[in-house]
Amino acid sequence: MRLPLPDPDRPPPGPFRHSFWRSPLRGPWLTSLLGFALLIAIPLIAITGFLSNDAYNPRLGGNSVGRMLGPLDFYLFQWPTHPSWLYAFTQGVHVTIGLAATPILLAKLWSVIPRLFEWPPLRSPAHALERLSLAFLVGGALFEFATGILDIQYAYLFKFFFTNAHYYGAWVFSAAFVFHAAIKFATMRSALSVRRGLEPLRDNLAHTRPEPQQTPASDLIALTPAAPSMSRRALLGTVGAGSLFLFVQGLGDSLGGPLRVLSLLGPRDRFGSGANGFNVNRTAAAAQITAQEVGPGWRLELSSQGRSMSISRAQLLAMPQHTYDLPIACVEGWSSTQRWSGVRVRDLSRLMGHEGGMIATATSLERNGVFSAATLAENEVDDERTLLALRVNGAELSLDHGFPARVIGPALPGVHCTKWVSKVKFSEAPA
Amino acid sequence: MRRASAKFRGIYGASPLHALLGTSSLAIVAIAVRGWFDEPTVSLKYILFWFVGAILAHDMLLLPLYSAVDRLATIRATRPAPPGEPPPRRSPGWVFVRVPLLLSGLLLLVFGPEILQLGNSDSTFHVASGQHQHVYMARYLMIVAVLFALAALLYTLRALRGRRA
Repeated sequence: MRLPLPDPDRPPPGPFRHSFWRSPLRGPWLTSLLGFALLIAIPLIAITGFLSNDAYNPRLGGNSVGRMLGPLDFYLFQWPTHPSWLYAFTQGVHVTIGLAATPILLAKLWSVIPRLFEWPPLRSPAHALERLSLAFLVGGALFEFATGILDIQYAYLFKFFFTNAHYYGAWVFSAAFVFHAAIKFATMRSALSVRRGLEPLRDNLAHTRPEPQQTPASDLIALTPAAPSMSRRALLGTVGAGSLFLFVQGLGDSLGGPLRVLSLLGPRDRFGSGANGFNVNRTAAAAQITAQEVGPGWRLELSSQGRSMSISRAQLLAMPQHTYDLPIACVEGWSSTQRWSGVRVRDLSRLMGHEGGMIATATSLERNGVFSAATLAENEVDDERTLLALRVNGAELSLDHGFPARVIGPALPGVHCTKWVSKVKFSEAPA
Repeated sequence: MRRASAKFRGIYGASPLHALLGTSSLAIVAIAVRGWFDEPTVSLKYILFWFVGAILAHDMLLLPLYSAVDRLATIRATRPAPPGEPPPRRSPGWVFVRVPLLLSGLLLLVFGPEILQLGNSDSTFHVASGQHQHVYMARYLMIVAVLFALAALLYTLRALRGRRA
């Protein structure tokens, strides 16, 4: 009896046949142009994403929330405190370019869909390896975009922990992406140069033809093309318009200020009013902060190497006060720059007898918070602009913004700006 | 050396560099998947479900669905070209529906969770930010209306210009 092995020359009917795919717009040039756009966008998104991991200082304290620090959790360099908008910038790029790249990714996947059904399915070990890697590439891309986009909208439709899944998913996607880019780069270059770059964009609908067939024949170019119902420039124009609109949504949220109104669907608007009228990431009600805890009985507990000290808010206000304009930069891409006043964290460390080089763990009064404590690195503690803020824009902090005292510092990720601080512990930096 | 390389190519189907790069890429993928196992809340199966589900949802659901909608709408207007002749011209009218439709679909796909308040997102969102998500549906509908109005305006202008010419 003969095994019913698939015949390499006779594809099964339906999408496995070249003639099934009839769009006259598909072809190596279109795919390469979209690929070129992604070749710029994806590395930007990936690098800023990995930099965000760095900014969280995962080597310190409990900062590596939810991750067990395996071999892929390396720490590249100490996250700088200059310029103060550094994290607002890198994370703004991550989310904004991520949003803008979404329609390009979808169009790219549309342009290569015939390849999912290519026949024979496996030609050689090299081809098998490529197709396996493509499963991780496409799956990784869709997984990363989907989880990222859901996260910025607080739609936790998934039952896993976002940080962990998105971080290792990024490695799956990046590893497959580098391999794909390396083996397809020459194909992309020749497809773009054969048709002289952007020249096909000149064709209106009447002049739109399928891409000229090449040798060897490309399975992306239709065998029996349908009449075009849209020109290439209309297709790419639509993708570009979608991309631009999403870019503006991210940009408005990320730059903040008067530009925030541009972000009609951006997931954040200002909250509250007056001096305290700007975004929060966790309300006092959500953190279950009670009036009693933050009343006159509130004390800041400073501790270091077995010694401790308790300070009232009046005593903090009697210390030298400093004012800086610093952004709160959320990992979800929005930022908001405000004028903060308070005590330097460096001065608190001096109070405990340190001359610098210590790390500081600030603990909040909040309950059930993933980030109820965060550890600041040596350079963050020693930077004169890192404050235990007591006031904002000339007014008392509101309860939602962290009254009686909160951490704010240059280039800190938003969730490291601990609110409702009750304890600050100074310790030696790990070797 | 060259002969060895040619022999390798004959068996494997590509250069040794391809094999080296491909296997190192898969090795990193394997270590990354191992990282998912470290998840303290043991939700690996959900991650894998989402990973495979994302591919299936896109390749087997979303893409065929929007292709079918597009095909249904254009089917009457499209005749196959006789062999050797350029495809027949047709009225570009559908483009003026298709483009705003595609853009509205894209925005719904990206911001659908907040617009439709999926998966309890409004209460999570409110707890976090003190805001509500009900504003997004109205804003979305407004954007859709503007997109279609713009397309209608452009179509009218083009039709008028065509009549005059």
